[in-house]
Amino acid sequence: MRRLREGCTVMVATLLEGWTELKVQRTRVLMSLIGIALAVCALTLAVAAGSFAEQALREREEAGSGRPATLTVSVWSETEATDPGLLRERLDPLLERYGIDYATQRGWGGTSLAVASDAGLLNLDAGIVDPPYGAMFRVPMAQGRWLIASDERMLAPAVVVDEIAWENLGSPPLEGMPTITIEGERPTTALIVGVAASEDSSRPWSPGSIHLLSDDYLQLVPDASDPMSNGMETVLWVPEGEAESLRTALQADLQAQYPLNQTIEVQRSDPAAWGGGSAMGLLWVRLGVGGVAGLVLLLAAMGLVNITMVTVKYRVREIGIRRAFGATARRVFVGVLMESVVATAFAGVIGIAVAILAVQNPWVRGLIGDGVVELPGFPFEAALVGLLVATGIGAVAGILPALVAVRVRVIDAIRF
Amino acid sequence: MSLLRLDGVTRSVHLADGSLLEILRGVDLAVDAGEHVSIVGRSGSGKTTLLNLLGFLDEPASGNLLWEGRPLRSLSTRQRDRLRGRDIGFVFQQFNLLSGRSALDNTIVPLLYAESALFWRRRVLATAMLERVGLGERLGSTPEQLSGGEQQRVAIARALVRGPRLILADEPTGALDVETGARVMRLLDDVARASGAALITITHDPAIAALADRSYRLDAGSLVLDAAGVAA
Repeated sequence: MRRLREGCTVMVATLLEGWTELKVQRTRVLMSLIGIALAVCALTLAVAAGSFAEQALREREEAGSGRPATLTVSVWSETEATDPGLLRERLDPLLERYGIDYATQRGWGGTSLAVASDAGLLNLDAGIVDPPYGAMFRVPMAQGRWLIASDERMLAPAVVVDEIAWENLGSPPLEGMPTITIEGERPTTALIVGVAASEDSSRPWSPGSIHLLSDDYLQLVPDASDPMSNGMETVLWVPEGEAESLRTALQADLQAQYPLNQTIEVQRSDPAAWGGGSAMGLLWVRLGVGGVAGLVLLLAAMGLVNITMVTVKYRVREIGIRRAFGATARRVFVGVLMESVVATAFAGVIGIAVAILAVQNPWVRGLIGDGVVELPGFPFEAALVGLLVATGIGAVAGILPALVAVRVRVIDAIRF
Repeated sequence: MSLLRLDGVTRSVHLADGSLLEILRGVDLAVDAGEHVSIVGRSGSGKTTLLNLLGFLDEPASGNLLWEGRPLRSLSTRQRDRLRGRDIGFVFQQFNLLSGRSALDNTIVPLLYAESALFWRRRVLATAMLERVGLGERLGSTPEQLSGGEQQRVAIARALVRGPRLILADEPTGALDVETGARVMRLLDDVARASGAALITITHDPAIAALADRSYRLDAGSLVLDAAGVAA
């Protein structure tokens, strides 16, 4: 008990000593720590930016292939045509039984619709979907809203166009409930209810795209029930932990309702199922960002070592006085080390605070989060990494000066 | 048993040309608790080397240095550091106060390395000691704001705050004028006697040396009793 009490006293006394020293030397300390604070801020920002970049890449992947876990359900046969409408009819009771809320039909692509515009006919890439598609594939809305279930009851089909198509259509204000005419055997008037954000990279070659509900599409293109011509598939979004059990159960339940010459396939199709397409890309991004941040920190640490060494030389007399009054070599070593650690940890906290303020700034969030639907908050791991690195730098930078300090000859130091 | 005893202590250093320079030669000295001893010597006579040995900051080349009969050699470096902090107080010629720190913070320094009972009462103890040396009104003053005499009084308070059993004063009046030096020396002597601590004063000033119970002369590394300096 007595030993514990003495140990605590030594710890408190060492911290007190370090803190007093920092207070007395505050100008010097402040100057030497600005570099550390900036470096930790840069590192923390880099980690945060990496996290945002990761989220952006993930969202881009999920926009194409679905969020974890996405199951694709299809039926095929080598001997006869299959009916996707029938598949959906048989699937719906199973979705209810297994509590699956997110399900949509989706065109395979290659389908286009001709839309009249002032500049002539626009052949827009058509996405044939159900209302849950917007949430399942993270469709980013620039204006208006995504398609909803009640749109199926409207007399004029509701459509969502992307920004490129919207601009090609003359950028009509949505408040005026703009309509377009979809050409075909039976020209149909449709209502634009929303504008989805487009990627700038697709502008040079894409005329734009249009999304409409699958039931409306079947009204426009009656022969679309032929699966070979419309390429429809059903996609489900299920909890990741239950994906495999649901996949197996749906496969078995559906197959039981089909003859043997028709095969049901339920497959997981989101990027996470095959390791993520951007995993290597993210790794390189992280290595690159981490490398630059590490270099910045190394330079800051060298600066700190340099300043601390000079300071220890300057403080030789003081160290000698402390030794004369009972400070052991270990105490001097720990004291000098603690000064460095406490100071850099403090600088680290300042750096992290600045990084948090920067990342939470609306203007910065708008800049770095451009195109990201679910921009994450300030990543905790970034703050943790920043603090650990700052403390580590303090320890490493403090060792050399601490070794110099314990080698001081007391009387020589006092007469320094 | 003497508080501190030196038996035939020698100290020498190797010079760059390989020769051996003897700084102290067969020094014998015994100091009892509460005694005031002075050591006078010219520059280069070995005073600093002797001070290092007396303060456990150096080891003799030969001979024995004993603290309460216990040889210094039997103590580890850490034990010596702790013994020095607990039982020895230093007063230096140039005061050696920590700049930028108040008189109170300077006086607290030895208590930072003390056991719990003293550490947690450090402010009370340091304040009381500063009041005792007449600086109760200057607790918050830094060395830069104090006169030479006041700085040396802070140094005395710092040397005594932990209740040492031996005070080593190295030219304590060397940086002060004669009048201030005499006042400071009287104060040091009074406070040391009141606390029962032994006082060893190393000086080149015969008048300061004359205040001691016994006075020694260090000449070319040999310590001899100065009969004229023995107090009546």
